[in-house]
Amino acid sequence: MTLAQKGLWFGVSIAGAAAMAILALNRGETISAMWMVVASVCIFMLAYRFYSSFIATKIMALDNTRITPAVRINDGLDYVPTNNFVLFGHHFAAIAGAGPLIGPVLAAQMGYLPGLIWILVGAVLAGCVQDMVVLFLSTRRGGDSLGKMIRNELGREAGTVALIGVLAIMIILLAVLGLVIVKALAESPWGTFTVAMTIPIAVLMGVYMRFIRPGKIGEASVIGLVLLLLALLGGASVAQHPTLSVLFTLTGTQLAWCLIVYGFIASVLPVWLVLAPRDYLSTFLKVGTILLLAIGIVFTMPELHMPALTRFIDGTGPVWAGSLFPFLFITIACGAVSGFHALIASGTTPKMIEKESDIRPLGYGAMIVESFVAVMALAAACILDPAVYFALNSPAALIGTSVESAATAISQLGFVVTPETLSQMAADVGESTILSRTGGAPTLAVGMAHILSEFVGGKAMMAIWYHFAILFEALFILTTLDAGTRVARFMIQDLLGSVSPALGRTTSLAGNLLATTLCVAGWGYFLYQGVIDPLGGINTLWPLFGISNQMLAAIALTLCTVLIVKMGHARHVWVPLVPLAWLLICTLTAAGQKLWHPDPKIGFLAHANVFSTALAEGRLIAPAKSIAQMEQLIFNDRIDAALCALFAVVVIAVAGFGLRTALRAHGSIGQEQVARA
Amino acid sequence: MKNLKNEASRSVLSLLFGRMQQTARLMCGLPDYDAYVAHLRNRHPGQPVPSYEMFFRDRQEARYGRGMARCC
Repeated sequence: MTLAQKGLWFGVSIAGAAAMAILALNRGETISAMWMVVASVCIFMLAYRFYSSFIATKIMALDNTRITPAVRINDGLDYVPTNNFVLFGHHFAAIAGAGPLIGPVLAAQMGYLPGLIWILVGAVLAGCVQDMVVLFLSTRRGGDSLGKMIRNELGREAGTVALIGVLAIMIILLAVLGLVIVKALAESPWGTFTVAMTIPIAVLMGVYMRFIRPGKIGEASVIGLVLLLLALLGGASVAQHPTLSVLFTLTGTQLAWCLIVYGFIASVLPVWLVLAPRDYLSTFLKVGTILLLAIGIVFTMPELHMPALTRFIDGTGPVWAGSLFPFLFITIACGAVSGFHALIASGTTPKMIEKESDIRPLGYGAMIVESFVAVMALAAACILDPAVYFALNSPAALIGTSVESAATAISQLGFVVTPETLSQMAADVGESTILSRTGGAPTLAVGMAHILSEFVGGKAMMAIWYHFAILFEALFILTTLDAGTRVARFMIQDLLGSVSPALGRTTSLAGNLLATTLCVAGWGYFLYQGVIDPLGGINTLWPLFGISNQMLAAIALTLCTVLIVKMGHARHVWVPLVPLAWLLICTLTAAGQKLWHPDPKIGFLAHANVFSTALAEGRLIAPAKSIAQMEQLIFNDRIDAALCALFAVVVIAVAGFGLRTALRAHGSIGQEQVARA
Repeated sequence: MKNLKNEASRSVLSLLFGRMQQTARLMCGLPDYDAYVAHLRNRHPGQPVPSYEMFFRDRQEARYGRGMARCC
């Protein structure tokens, strides 16, 4: 390193430390969200330059003279040596999802600081490391999937346990994302109309790409985008139309049923008709909107109104229950560390890597960008008036359903607000109410509408920007929902195939319909349960999702730890082991608290007890209106508890298999060294 | 001299455009058709070369087939 370079990196360190100090020590006055951007950019630059380089040279020993699977197999289809930048786009589009947009918004109830620190530290030490090491391991193993590597390296049992874990996380993921859409679209004719229009638009694009101009993705996407914007503008008129607005005003339960039926149909139909065209549209809209948001934040430099820390770090927050440790670390899963990325990093990307040195920008670099998206989502939530944030995110059971009751309740929480402010905000974004629009998506949309309307269009455009943001989130969540249902269907068919080979064949219509029904029934059950939950459902489902996603990350990091020991790098085993230990501590503590915590807002079993005690005394507790509904709620709690226990068992089992393999490998390496000496 | 410079910048632009198109397509799971055709010609000279349309259909099916992971 030359003196000038040393000076540059020293400058970056000072700038990052200064920005972090301003964010951390600020009390009382509002500061610019730009400090979040500066702190993140500096920390990410330093981490990429130094930490990823250390791992790349000292542990992975990347070597461009080694032939990658893409070069060796080169079949022109799956294995194709691909330009670094082109592949970066592919990889980023595959890892970017709704997770990093929603988790940070929910975490904002504790203030901007805890979320920011966890996103930055988590990404640098855990998330990016996991993505890069898994990508490396898969590349060195001919592009093997995570499941296959676990089977080969940790044994068959470990592979089966991990497969069950992945299936469970898929089901919970689909349910929670479905819930986010339901919460965003319920009682919102504008949003519902726009999102509903994406289905005929997708069909039109599908027909265009199949029969009119075969394979012209670009043309079809431009047409789709124009129609989408027309639907967005048309939504405003629909919301004012006397009959149409009634038609598109749906309750949560109606929307849940629509999603369940849609998920089933879209994943069974031929992919070219709905699934693929919608996927193309959502991919481009996703990447475009993320860029737009980044530009918007940098140009408008909004102020952060959320304090650095709120009193809800003690676990009494209205958005989700539970104290900072361990729940912050599972609320922000994607964005800090996401186990799902391990599936992507061992999916199509390793089969297209041209040379080993590309692994560093792809694995570590793409996750940095993803984390940056999480920082922007956190910023978008924290620039809102905190009272508006809590009005959006608190369940009706806590703040009531009128602006007056909400203003009183939120003022009592310590964020003084008038009812007029809340109704004005609803009017600004073109909605009838902003109260209890939980799930994160509407909050992010209000935040984005603030930023983007200041950037383009002013206050008059705010309602359009709000619904644009809702559309952008709903579009790619729905794409995850239908494509995810299809993937889970194949997994279930694999499992069914071991019972009855006929059902396992993907061409079998009966097997297809049975597996799809099982899958949709699985996530539909949790979705429906979340929609009718008086505490908003997010309180129940999001922690389950976070725990499962971190559990998958722990499984991936177990594999990384074992293989690093096997490679003879036991000295550097702390690189994957420290994040692994942290994730194990967080997920197991969180799972334990979700099971046994005495507070019924946190513990599933405590919640079930409240209801069963009441049932024994012959009392009904809202929302239950009958004995049968009481029994249903108790049953739901027990199912949630069982799922939580399953996640804990899966992660403990895989960690155990990992420990066994690592000790054996370390022992045999030790013996070899002794023998050689 | 000026012509050469223009040509060079034009080829840089077309390379950039090509790369952007390739990136956008790969984001949707569609690999490079030209590379596939070149691969077939080089490695499997006897085999028939599918049309872009057939190639597109095949890759579209493959993207949503077994084992495709999709992120949260």
